[in-house]
Amino acid sequence: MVKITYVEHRGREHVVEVANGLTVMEGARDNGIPGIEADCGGACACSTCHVYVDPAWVQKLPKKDAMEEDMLDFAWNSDPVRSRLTCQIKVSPELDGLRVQMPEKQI
Amino acid sequence: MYLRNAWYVAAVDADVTREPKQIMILGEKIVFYRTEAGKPVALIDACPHRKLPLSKGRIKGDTLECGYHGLTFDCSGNCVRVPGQDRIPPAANIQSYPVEPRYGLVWIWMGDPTLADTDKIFKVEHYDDPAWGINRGDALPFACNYLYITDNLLDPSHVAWVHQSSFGNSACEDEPLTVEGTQEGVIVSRWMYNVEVAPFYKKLVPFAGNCDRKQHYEVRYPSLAYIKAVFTPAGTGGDESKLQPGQYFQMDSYNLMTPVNETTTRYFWFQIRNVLPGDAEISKYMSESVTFAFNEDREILIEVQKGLAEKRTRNIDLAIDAGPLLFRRRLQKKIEAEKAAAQSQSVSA
Repeated sequence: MVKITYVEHRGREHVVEVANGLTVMEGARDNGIPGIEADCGGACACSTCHVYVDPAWVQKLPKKDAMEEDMLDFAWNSDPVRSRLTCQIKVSPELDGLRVQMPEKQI
Repeated sequence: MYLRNAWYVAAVDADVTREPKQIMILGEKIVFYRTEAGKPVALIDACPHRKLPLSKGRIKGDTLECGYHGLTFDCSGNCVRVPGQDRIPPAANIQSYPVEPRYGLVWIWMGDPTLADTDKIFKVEHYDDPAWGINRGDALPFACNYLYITDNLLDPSHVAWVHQSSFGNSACEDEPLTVEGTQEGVIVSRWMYNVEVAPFYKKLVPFAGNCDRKQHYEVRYPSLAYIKAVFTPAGTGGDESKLQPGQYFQMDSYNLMTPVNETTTRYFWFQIRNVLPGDAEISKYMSESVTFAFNEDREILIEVQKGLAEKRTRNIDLAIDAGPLLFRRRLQKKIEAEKAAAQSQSVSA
């Protein structure tokens, strides 16, 4: 299990333990954290699990693939550096302490 | 929004004749006719003088004469006669479009004519192969944006609900899909193993009992679909390179969409099959069945067009939308790149 902090747009923090092998999206979903909608269930088809990764974590995450890059172009108010789709980030021990912030809205 | 530097289907061969005819493509009115030698011609459908559509005029030899004052245009759009004066104003020349007959269809290039390359026309395998049969019919008008049709044709799952009496059955509901972006477009595919043969295909498969079925749904830019269906005896599917002629059924359906404008699309189609090549009864059966099924899509998509135009809830995109949305995003990028290139060209010129 690793600790992940999800920060709602208005600043409310949720610190939860997420099992290795799940995605950061599934960690939010399983803990009932609002702000990550994940309409497509993790198929990289909808861009509603978009977050801004804490600047300290941007370089530590596995790189975006072409599908995710493509999809982020259509996310609401995405940031070229910090935006990620949480369904594409697998939880691993190196991610312990990860901090992500939700956008004002998903679409 | 349309990709312009692309070949679209303008008409089936028989619809371009020695009578001028207006066809709207990408929101532009275009007049089509044939030369005496049978070569198709496409010109902007407006006389430069008072803008009467030239499709209201007359063909004289290989030229087209305006029905109002007789201005006459050759196949390249050059004005060759202005009755009542010797001088032909330079602005009297009109735009012509590159056109090319292929696969029983007339294709048109809607972008920069200097980039028109007939080698880039959509490729149809087995078109003239005597071992394969073909069936075809009239183009269908769809009162919806062309991208709702590309959505539909990158979505193998819809057959389970829309085409229960023909292409689909419950086997098509839950099997996961593979999505692949290529240089030419997007492919969504899956194999389904040991399933019942769906109703439409029962007459066509050369074996009895259950099947392994491949659905290959591909749309290439700008909006040209290749839908391949493969049926093999259950237990023999999974690898197309291992299929033996005579033991399996394959149908290649070509569904070629041309936007008329933002809310109407012309849907051209034909199918090629690897069984019973000369069987006219089977061709008729196939054309009638697919027309019935395409009309099932049409009913749905017309309502989708209306529903999305007046939507009251936010859309949701599901896992099954991955392929359709990948196609839309890539097409949009191509359209934007084309616009940017055209703008920088006009600035430098």
